[in-house]
Amino acid sequence: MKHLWMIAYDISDPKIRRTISKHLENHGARVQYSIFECRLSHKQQQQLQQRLNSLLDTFDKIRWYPLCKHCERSVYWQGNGQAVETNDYYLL
Amino acid sequence: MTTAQIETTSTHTQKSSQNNQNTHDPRLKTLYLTGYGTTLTKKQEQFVVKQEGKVIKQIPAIHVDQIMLFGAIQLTTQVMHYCLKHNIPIYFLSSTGSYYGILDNHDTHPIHLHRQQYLKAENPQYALKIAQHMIKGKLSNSRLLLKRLARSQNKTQHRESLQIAAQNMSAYIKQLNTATDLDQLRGIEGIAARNYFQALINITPHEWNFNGRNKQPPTDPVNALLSYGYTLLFHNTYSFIKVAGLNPHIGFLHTPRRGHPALASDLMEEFRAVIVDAVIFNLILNNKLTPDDFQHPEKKGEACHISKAARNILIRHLETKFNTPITHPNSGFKIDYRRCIEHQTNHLASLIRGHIEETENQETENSSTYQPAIFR
Repeated sequence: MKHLWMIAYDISDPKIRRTISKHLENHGARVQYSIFECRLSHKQQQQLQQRLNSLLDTFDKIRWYPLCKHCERSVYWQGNGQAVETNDYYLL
Repeated sequence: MTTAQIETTSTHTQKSSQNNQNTHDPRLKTLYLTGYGTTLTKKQEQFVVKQEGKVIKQIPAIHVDQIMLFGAIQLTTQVMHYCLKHNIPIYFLSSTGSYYGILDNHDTHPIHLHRQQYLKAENPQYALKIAQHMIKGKLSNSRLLLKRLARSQNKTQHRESLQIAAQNMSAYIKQLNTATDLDQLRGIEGIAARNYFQALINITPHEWNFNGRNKQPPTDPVNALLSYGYTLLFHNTYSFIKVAGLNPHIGFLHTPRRGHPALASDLMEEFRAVIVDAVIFNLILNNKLTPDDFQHPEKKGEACHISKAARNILIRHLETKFNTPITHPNSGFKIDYRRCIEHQTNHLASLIRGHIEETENQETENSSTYQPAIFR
C-alpha cells in the first residue's frame, strides 16, 4: 500500500540541499521550493528516510506529514500552483 | 488573482489525472513506450523518455513496476542494469504487439519451488486436476460475458443467440469432469471456444468482417485487437508469476514448449473473457472504435494492423479494466482485476508448495486443489 507524504525541508548548506532535493525529485513531485509530495510504500519511505538522515547537518530539518485520502483530496493552493500528476500507468 | 484561483482550485482538489479514479493503488504501474524514435535513458533514479532527442517525460523509477516496449525503442545499458537490479521486467514487443522476449534477471528463483512445480506438472493426475479447474474458470467466465452481453443487447435475436450460447457453455462445463486426460480436456475446451466465438460473431456488425478466431497473423480488426489484448494480459500475468517465484515455462494445461511461457498461458485462461474480450467488445459494440481505425490487409493471409490511435485507446481501456475494483469471488476481498490475477498466481504457488502434505493425506478435498476465480 502506498501512502502520500508531504515532505518539507530546511537545509542550510546549498550542496546538501541540492542532493536532498535530487533524492526527493526521484521519489515524487516538488510543489514548492522546499516542499515535496511523494507517494511511497512503507519500505520506500523507510529507505528514503534513512538516506536523507545520513545527509543532514546539525541544524537541518526535514518534516514528514502523512496525508490520508481525504486530506489529499482537500489540498488546495493559492497563486501559481497545480495538481500533482498521479498516473496509474504511462503511455508514451 | 488569488481570489480567482481560490474559486477555481476546488476543481483542482479533484485528482487532475483522468486515469486515477480508483480508490485502490494500481498494483502494477506499467510504462508503455510506443512512439517511433523514442529513447529511454536514465538520470539518477528517474527514467527519461526522449523523442527525437527532446525530453518528453521524466518519471521517478519507483513509480514504474514493468516496462513494455513496442517496436524499435532504444534503451541505454544503464537503464537495463537498473531494471535488472530493481526487478523491473522489460518486455520487448513488435509495434503490433508480437512478443519477442523479456529482459529478466532470473532473480526470484527459489529452486525448491521450481522443482516441486516441475514434479507436479509431470504427474498426469495432478496436472489434469489443475487443468480441469483452469478450464472450468475459463468457460465459466466466458459464459458470464455472454450473459452480460445478452443483457445489453437490444435486438431480440442477438440476445437469444447469446443466451443459448451461455446455456451451451453450462453443458460443456459439466462435461469437463468426464475428461480422463489432457487431450480430452482440450477437445471439450475447443468445442466450447467455437460455441463462444460463434455467439460473438453473431452480434458483431458485418463491416468488421469477423468470422472466427485467427492469429499469426490476425487478418481482421477484431482478431488484431484480441491478439494485442491477450498479449498485454499475458505480460501482466508473467510479472506476477515471477514475483511468486514460480517458473513461467512449466505449465499444467499448456505443454512446455521452447520459447513459450506455458504457465502464463495457463493462468491467463480464466481472465481472457472478463478482461480482454469484455473491453474489446465494449469498444466495438459502442462504436468507440470503427473498422477505419485499422489498416486492412491487401492479400489474403496478411496481417491487419491497428492504427496508433486505436492502440492507445485499447491500452487505456485495458488499463482501466485492470484497475477496476471487483470483489474476488473466493476470498471476498475487494480488490481489482489485476490483483485477482496476482491472487490466483499466489494461490497456485501455495498449492504447489503444499503438495508434500497433500500426498501424505490422500487429498481430493476441494480446498486442496486449484480454485479458479469465477466471477458473477
